[in-house]
Amino acid sequence: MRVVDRLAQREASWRELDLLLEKLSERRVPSQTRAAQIIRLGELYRSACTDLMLAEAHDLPRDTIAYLHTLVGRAHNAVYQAKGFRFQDWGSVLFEKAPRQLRSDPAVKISALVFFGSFLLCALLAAGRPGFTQRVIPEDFIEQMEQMYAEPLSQERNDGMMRNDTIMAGFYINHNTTIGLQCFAWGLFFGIGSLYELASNALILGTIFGHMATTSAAGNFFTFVTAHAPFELTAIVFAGAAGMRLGYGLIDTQGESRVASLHREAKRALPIVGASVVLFVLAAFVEGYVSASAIPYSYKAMVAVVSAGLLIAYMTLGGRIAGEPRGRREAAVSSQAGIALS
Amino acid sequence: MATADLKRFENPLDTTVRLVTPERIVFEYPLAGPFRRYFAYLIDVGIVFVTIVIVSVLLIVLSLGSMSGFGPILVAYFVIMWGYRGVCELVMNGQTFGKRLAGIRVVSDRGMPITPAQAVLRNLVGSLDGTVPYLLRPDLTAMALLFGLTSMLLTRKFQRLGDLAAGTMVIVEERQWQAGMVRVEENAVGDLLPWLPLRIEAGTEMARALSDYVKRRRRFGKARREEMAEPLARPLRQRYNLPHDASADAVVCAVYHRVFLGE
Repeated sequence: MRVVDRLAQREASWRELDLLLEKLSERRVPSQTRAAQIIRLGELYRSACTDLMLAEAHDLPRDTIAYLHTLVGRAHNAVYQAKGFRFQDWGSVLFEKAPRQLRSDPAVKISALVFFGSFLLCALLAAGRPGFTQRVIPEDFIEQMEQMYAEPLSQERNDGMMRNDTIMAGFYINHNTTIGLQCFAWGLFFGIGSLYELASNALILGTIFGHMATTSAAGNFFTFVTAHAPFELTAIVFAGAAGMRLGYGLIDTQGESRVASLHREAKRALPIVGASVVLFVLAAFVEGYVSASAIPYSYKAMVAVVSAGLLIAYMTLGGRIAGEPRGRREAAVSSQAGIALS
Repeated sequence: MATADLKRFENPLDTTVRLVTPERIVFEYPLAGPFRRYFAYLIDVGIVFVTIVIVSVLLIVLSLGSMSGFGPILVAYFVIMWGYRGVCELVMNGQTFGKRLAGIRVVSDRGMPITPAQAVLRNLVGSLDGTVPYLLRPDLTAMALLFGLTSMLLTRKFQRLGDLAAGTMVIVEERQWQAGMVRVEENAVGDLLPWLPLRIEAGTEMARALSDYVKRRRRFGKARREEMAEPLARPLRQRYNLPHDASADAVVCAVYHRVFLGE
């Protein structure tokens, strides 16, 4: 059979597959026609696969073969589509996988140690050693901070500074969460980027805490920071831990190639990043609407205690109830699928 | 010997990646290089900025111009900046709008469509490659883009750092294809056809050379065509006893006609 005849014979089926793929990528299709389309897709895909397999033997011209390659690729992507996106999955990641990961991952402990350790150290140094604060933080920034907390934040200010809770909540969500996500991403450089972010944040925060404690503005300062501290400080610790986990994948490969090991650890780190983002957002709302408001201090302290309690419950109890076997079964199934495909 | 030849053909000096499907079919994807991806990146950055501006204007109108409108604007800014690519790639099977226009798609490095985790991960870690531009720090954005470019140039599959972390790659999905075969209807070729046997079994390599030449010959001048066709035409003239004054171009085209098109 001549090439030209063979082409004429097969071309219609390729065109049909092409059109069908186009149609399937549009979502709004009634389910009944969709079912018929999917069955047809399977047939056409298999026949295109056969054509591609025989393309070399049939001496098809090069651009036809190239077209067949992309056609089969597109059809393959349509046949083996990823499971779209379900809120249920994200819930199970946040409330089952993430807490288990948090309990079992030594990176969380290291991250907490680095962050709170350097935080405390700097706070003590700033409070006890005159001159330490000035070395860490520029003087005009210190003055600005002292001025800011000279009066209670919630009162009508006479220095013309206006507060708007919604603006501040929005600002904190954007600013702090961005820092958290960057802290995670920088972990790719062997975890050093995350360590640096953790340490530098702890250094600045700790020094400010220690310094403010010794000034007359201490009362106002602590009134402001108490309520959102548990969520925010935990969030940055989680982000740092996830970043370190990512970087550690490059260091300890467990016998896999470095890139494969990086995937493994990145996947493991992802639930913790999710938890961290949620905490950053919660902290931003508390910071914007509770910390800066005129609510008496006792209530703000209560918010802090409740949020710390929630965090402890999340980390100790989360993912322990009923969820465990299902998670394992899914993992087993997906690893089997992985083997079958490779 | 045959397998060695085949192998040489299967690993061309090309930017393609070979994949084996569950049906045990081998197919190739052309990989998307840095420049095609940069084009998609520019479109996406444009879309992100325009969306942020539109959402901001909407929110200001909704909040009746009060100061409170700025809070949600910052939240929208954050969500769009960090979420646009991830959500697009998740919903549109590995494509953002920029990628769709540039004709490229993200797939996992085993050729499967990407999972939600991969879509999120490649764009979170991707902030190191400049996918989340620092608005006020063009220097940092440029540095991040350089990270991404360096990583693409150092990896065989043109993967940026986000791709490496998530185990993904970006491939080209071309759709244009001229149907049918190129035909040659020139008198010089027609005159040669009676000299040739009705059926010629050319073999893979010969068929490929013939179709490549005929497809591209229109782009060249007469002298250049002769120069390119001569090495192939010389043995063909001998084998089929063609007249010695027949032009090399016509000889190759005539053989092509017999191999691919028939009478």
